[in-house]
Amino acid sequence: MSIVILYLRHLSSFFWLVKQALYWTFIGSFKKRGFSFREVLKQMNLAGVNSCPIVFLIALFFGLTLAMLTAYQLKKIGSELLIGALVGISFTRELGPLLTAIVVAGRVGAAFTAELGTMKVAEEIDALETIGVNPVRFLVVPRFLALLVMLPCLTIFSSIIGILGGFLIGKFSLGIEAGYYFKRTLEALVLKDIFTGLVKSFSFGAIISLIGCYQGITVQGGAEGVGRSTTNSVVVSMILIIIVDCLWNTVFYFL
Amino acid sequence: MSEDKTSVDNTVRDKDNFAIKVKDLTRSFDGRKVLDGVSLDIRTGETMVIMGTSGCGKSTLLRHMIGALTPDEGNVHLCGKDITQMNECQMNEIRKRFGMLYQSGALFNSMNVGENVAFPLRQHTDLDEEIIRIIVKIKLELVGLTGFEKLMPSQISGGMKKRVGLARAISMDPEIVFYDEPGAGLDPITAAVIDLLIMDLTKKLGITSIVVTHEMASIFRIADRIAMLHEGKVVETGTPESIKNSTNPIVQQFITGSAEGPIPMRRTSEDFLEGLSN
Repeated sequence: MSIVILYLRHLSSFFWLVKQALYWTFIGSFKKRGFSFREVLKQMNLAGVNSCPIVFLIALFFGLTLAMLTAYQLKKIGSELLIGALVGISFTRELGPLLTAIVVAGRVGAAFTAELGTMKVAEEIDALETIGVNPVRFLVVPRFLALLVMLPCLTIFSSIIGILGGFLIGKFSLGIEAGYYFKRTLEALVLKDIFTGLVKSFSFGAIISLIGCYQGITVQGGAEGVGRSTTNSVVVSMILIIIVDCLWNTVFYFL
Repeated sequence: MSEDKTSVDNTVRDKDNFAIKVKDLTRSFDGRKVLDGVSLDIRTGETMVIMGTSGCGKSTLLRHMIGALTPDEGNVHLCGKDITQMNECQMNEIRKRFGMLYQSGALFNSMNVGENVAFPLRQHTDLDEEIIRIIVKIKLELVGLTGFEKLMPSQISGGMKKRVGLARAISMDPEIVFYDEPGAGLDPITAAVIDLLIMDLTKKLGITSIVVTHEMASIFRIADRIAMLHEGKVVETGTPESIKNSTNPIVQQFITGSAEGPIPMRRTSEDFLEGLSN
């Protein structure tokens, strides 16, 4: 029973944070003291630009793997030429957003939690409040906005690189011409696929940043608490990402 | 009971002479009463030391005074206004009028010393960078750290961090400064330097100081008045002399620092847990 109450309490304080973050992002920013734009840029650099190498690397290898895997099956029915379309659609609709979100949850979400958690333990967040600065405005909103913008960007790039990875297999293993490969990819892709991927990555960006920050500012205890919250942050983000991904797929499947 | 009476008397005598008035403050955590009807009046310009054993509720009382916690019952008047009824916006206005020095200094580790001291100014005022730079310089000079602007908090010692924390606390020229264990974790000499700074600032700038500590040497050095907190209640208030000569056995045990007396030491964890749940 008490564990149910605990979860409900977490849920209500998480929604309080969501409400506050949305308020300070969209309404509070028109007030005299909104969030700092410089801080948003800094976080965009830390969370987005610095995530590029790992996201690109994983997308490339996943593209290669996916192409090899599908070619292995499609060869049996002699339709290897379809791998362009298959890799293209898988990456824009599903793998691009999902892979990027999972990598970013591990890399950036964990960093948000550890950083805010350490600030909480060192009384820095209390000090912010005492100075009269809203911690949500000052710490959460820049991170939230940064990921909201950067995760879709990363997703687009990772989809492109995944498709390039598929192309490498198509070209060098199956001998498909570049022009033909990309023509088939573009033929198969419709605007709805790209839209689906972007909608997903927006929601993943919100999930990762808000869960990461929530776990950070609710750290209790010392170093151990920071460790526990960081683990929770990554685990909860990943579970939510998978669930929300499934929900979006349901929505777009029936739409 | 006697506390209640004095607070009523004080209200009648002079309303504006008090920087802080705490009345019948009660707060429980998980069924355990940490504060049990605390009433305390702090005059403008005085240094009030709140002392007591660890876990007696001193820090909780301090957190109520700065509006970080809301009480179950009772209220806190800061600068004549009841902060327990305020919304966040009004509270932020009040927060500009006091500063707080945290136990660890609580400097922002991602900013250098100068940016830390300038932070409240940048957040609350539209002053020119040039003026902010001058104010930061003055505040750092007040705490004896001239020329430390460019250093990061990780590069300076614990005592220096506290001094920078103090410079940040007074950067907005507050009327009241709260100190949470200013001497904790410092060597006796550095602790004495911090005490001197507190007394200096109180005199030079006419600041009301509220110090929470349990270090006896420091208490008698800086206090104008002392309040002894025990099991969530104020057991005695008075000048250092009257506290020294107090006949209250709790106060005597505390200031002489003896293990024997009315303040019990919990011996088993069962006792302790029972104490928590009662």
